[in-house]
Amino acid sequence: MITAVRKPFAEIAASLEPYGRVLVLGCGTCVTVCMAGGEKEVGVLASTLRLADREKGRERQVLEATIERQCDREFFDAVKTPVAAVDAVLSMACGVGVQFLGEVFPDAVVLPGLDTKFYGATVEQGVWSERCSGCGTCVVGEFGGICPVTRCSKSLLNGPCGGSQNGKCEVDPKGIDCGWQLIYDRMQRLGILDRLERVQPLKDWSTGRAGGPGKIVREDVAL
Amino acid sequence: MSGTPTGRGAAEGAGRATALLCENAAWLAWLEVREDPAVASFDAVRLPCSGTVETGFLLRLLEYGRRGVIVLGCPKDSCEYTRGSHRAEKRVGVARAALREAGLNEERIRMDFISSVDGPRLIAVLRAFIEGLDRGAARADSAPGAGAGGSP
Repeated sequence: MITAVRKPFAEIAASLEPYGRVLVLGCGTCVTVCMAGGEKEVGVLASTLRLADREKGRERQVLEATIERQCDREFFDAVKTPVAAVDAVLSMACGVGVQFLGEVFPDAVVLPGLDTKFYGATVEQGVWSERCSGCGTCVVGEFGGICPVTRCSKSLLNGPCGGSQNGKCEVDPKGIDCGWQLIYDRMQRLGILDRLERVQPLKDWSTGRAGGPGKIVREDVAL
Repeated sequence: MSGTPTGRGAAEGAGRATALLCENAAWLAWLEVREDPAVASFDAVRLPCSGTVETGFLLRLLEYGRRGVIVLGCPKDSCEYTRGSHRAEKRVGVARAALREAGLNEERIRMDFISSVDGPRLIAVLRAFIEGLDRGAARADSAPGAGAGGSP
């Protein structure tokens, strides 16, 4: 899933300051799972905004809604009316949803309520960890199912750097496992360690961020 | 879609405090002391477990005009559902953090743990909660620019 965390309240409040009617719009998919921008989080933020407004004696309308996804056009139909009725929409979706909201409603002022982080997995309740960088040409099959592009801080494809100590990465020796230690251990466990002797060719980075904004066109499923 | 609370629910009990009580312990203590003057300013809500409390619900109660909300769970080491009081404590913590982050009085939401036979302590906790709300209201009244909004 795409993971995110909510922006600090002060930053959100400052961004909404000029607007008299706002809609806090949640997303029911990734950011609901990572508990940052789903219906519950929208409710907490909207309530807090209204309580803060009341404390200041400010008359402002804070609406709240959550749709299934903010990265698919059809789900926005449910909020056409409130979006048209407010001065700004605070999107509690990832960066994709925020921008697509603005594309679907070109006249709406759209603001982000979250900081989008990474493609990650829920490793335990309340803990999410990055697993994929979306590089466009997956190589995990060559490395025992562990991605060196993402799990190695330097995205090295031909072995660890000198900063690998006791299974940890020099970037953060307490928090980050050395991706190459993980790869080595996993391939040893699978009995395929010999595959590491293959020299990896230069990776084509143009299929990822280095190639500019990505786009997929599937004629077979297009209407 | 929803927005600012209005209508019947918003007006009922405005200005009073709410006690959310786990039926396995705190509620039983409440039944023992419910005639005491200390509980007169509270409306009691019986819960199957304090762990059912959601952060948004606590804030929503304040939005509806509740003066304060106190969640009363089982003692943590004897929770009927093992982790219910622990979960409730975390959610109360998130609600208090939301208030604090917004510059509001976090003491309007509190959690405590009461056993079924601890009526006297329940009275003390409720009294302390109301006194805390009164102090918060007094501070708000004396603050520069007071009188604009008026939550205690």
